[in-house]
Amino acid sequence: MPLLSKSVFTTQRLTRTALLTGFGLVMFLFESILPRPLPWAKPGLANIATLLALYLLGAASAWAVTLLRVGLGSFFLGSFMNPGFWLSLAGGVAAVATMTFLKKFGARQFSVIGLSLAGALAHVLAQIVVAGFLIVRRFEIIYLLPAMLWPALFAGVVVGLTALFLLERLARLPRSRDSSFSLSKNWRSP
Amino acid sequence: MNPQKIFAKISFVTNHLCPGDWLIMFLFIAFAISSWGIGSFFKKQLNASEKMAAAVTMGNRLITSVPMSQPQDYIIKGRLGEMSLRVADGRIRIVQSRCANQVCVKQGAISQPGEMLVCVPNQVVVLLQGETSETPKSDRPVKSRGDAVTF
Repeated sequence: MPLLSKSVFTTQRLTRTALLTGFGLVMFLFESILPRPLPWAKPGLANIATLLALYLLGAASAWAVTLLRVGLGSFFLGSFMNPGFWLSLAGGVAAVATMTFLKKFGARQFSVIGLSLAGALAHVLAQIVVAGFLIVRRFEIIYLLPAMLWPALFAGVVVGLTALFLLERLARLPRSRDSSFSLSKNWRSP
Repeated sequence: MNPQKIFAKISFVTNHLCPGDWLIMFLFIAFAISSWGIGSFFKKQLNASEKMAAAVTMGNRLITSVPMSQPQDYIIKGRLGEMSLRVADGRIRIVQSRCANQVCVKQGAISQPGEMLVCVPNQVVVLLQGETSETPKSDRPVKSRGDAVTF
């Protein structure tokens, strides 16, 4: 199934993907203004948009939301092709890959919170690997791992809870006429 | 928000938690705790490798390698006679030399790996090295560094 064919991205799905991309972008820019007591720790609120896209619109939309958010966000922040851009690209790709994988093969074992935590873990590990092997080129950056993992655990829980409540609210909306977009059926884990 | 509503929220969340969520959370915590151990292990190794030593060469020959860890004075023989080195506070300096211009003495103290003290008349170069914790064999020729050594 080609990625950009009409069967994947119907008009409705396309507009909703764009909406969630905008939401993720706003979150991304918002948390870039927030003061950061720990420079390596970000709340990762933009992952809410990815999670919503994954549950409401499917894997292709989740990929689109993440990649567009990373690309456009780096344009807006002026950090395109910077080390920070590569870090966030690697983290975003690893997170969305892990989450789509778990959603596809373990939808009954993982809820939104589990997916969010898995995404946060993949994000941290990918960033450590990219920072260690491509940017700093020193293996000693592994010292940062515990300092990155504890905030990531907290942020993953918060993002997962937010996504859970948002999905609950969105499921109360009247059902869409588009049969591929059934909120109340898709998101709920058994 | 009354307690009942809070309880409803909490039970809403717990109803949606799946076994995999706990697995991921367990993995997360296991990673975080084990990376403490891995990090401190590598930190020890790094500290060991940060032991600096000053390689003292005359001509192309390594005379001695001076550890920078404990403060001590050293007397070495240059071409013009004895000169003295002093290690203190992780810094090394040439205290006294028989050369005419005393450029090496006026150079002061060095503390960073890669920095060097040079006394051209004595043909002596003191090079700070980052890693060598063991003393190299004294008859091993070292690479000449620049015109100051080879004239």
